[in-house]
Amino acid sequence: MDRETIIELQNLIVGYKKGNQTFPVMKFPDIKVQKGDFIAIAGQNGIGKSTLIKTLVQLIPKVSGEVLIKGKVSSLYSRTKLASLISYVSTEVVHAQQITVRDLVAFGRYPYTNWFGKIEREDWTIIEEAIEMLELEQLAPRFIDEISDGERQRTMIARALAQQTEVVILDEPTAFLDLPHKHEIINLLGKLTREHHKTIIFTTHDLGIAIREVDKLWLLSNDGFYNGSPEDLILNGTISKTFNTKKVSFDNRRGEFEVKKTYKPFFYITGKTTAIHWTRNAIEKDGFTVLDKETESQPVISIEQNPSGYHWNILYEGKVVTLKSILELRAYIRYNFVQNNLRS
Amino acid sequence: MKIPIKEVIRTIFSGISSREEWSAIIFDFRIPKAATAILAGIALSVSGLQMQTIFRNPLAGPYVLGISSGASLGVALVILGYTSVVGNLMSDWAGKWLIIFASWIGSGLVLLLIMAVSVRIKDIMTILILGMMFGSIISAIVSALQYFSDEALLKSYVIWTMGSVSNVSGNQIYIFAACILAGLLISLSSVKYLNMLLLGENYARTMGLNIKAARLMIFLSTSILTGTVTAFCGPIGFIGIAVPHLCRILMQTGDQKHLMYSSILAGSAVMLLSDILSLLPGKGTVLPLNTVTAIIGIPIVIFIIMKNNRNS
Repeated sequence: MDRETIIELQNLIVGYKKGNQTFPVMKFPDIKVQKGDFIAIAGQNGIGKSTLIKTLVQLIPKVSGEVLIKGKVSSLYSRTKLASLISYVSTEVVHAQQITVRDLVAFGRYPYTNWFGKIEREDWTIIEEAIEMLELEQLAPRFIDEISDGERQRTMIARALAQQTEVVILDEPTAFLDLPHKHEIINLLGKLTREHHKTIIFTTHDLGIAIREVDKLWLLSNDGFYNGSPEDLILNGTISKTFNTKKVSFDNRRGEFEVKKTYKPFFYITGKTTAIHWTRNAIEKDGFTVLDKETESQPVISIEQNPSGYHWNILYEGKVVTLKSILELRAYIRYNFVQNNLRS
Repeated sequence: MKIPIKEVIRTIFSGISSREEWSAIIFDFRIPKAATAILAGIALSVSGLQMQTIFRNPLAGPYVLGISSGASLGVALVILGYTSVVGNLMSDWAGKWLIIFASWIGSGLVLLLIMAVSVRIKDIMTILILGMMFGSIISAIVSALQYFSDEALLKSYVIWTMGSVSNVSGNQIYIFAACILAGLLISLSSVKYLNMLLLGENYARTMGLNIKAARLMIFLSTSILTGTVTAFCGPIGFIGIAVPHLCRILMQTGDQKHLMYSSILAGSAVMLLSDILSLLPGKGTVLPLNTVTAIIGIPIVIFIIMKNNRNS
């Protein structure tokens, strides 16, 4: 079944103006966004993610082309009408004094209130629902200049939900959040697309989290624009091509970025999976990578567990050295191996 | 003139007084004066609140756009320039109206300038700075006029700059009240916009606000309110800066609707109080109104600065 098209980009070029000159930042192919789409926009700093988002919510004018919203050119909508179709959450920090979290969420109802901004009983039901969804009940009576950046970010998202728009556009919604809340917010946004059929577009630098949740990824890079499911973009190598730098590469299997190692594979590790994972994590900090198979000539770290905890045995050149913590292990390795294992 | 309280109450409610001059004093002088003080207090406080919100600056006040400078120029031209030819205008009826019109035209011109600028310029801080610069240029012109004028005229001009609520009499009070109410209506219908602007202009726009229309509306009401007060009472300082803050402290809210209602109440109360204090109860002398508003207002402003300093 074909879903309704909500947003359509036609030959869009976004950019900014300085005086009479325009500076195009990014050109887009024709794209259709359908009702219920959950889209993350990723790309390096300065590539034009925020410019695109601000163009979509009509905060800055486009350079050329068109943005259609529900089949109509977006600039033809009145501000109020547009505010009932698209809500927006930015990275701007709101500094209003003596405004409570509940007041701020209630401001989301303004596109629907009379000229005096009167909040009716039905509005309050919607406001309280939004507060509940973002788990802000405890914070609701607090002033927004007295809560943390992350809590304020959740308040701004609740306000966008109270605005009850079909489309929600967010600029780096996870920027100020701690790791559990990053996952939670992206997961919640996903839920809104599936259960409430909202269309959600957001920019992010938390690619790992986005890959796990979103339907589509828009990749902005110097070579152009890529649009697809995150899985497809991983499999066809687009993500590594877009983000890999001299020092950092994208691990296609784990879906995370890693600093490239400049040392030859060196150790072989045996033991329980979790212990191997974190031991590997530790020795990679010193630039050692880990062998996939045991060889005769290379040293082996075997991890054993007894009631007093883990210990690490290093076997090399016929000797065995036992170490009681990763801290000791790293110190030993650094002292004995770094000098005779030069960069390749 | 001392009139017993009982007599005052009886005169107000029955219209008759045991001595005829008492009822004349109450109806022709004291009630218009009290009404003027109330209306001026409301106008300045509401304008101050609007300016503090739109410029996101706690020290902004009703005169931040340079409206009082515009009014001063008009009045200075009339008193210091024109009067020297025709005679002293402060005393007679036509002269008072001439001063009022001159002041209105002065503040109206500044308003037009600000409006023209705000349609073209996006950045609100640029508008604030331009407003202050206009004000400074105009003040410079006024200073030059003062320098070249003779002493008696200079004194009547200086008296005008000290502010007074006792010059509005007779039919003037109706026109004064009508203008203030018109300005107030525009202000009341902009509370929603002011609340949206608390979140910053980008958020306000995505919530459906037409920034330019909202700014024009807020500037228009501020100019009508402060322009009218300045025309009838002279420039009255500090009320407009201090009262909104007093309300923020008392009400513990940033919601513009509550702040506007409370500024209306507190503004009229503080202005009446200032006027009463300026009479130096028990003594025969009268202090200039601006000295009293400064003495009441400045401690509040200092308190705010210290409080903001502690927070950050």
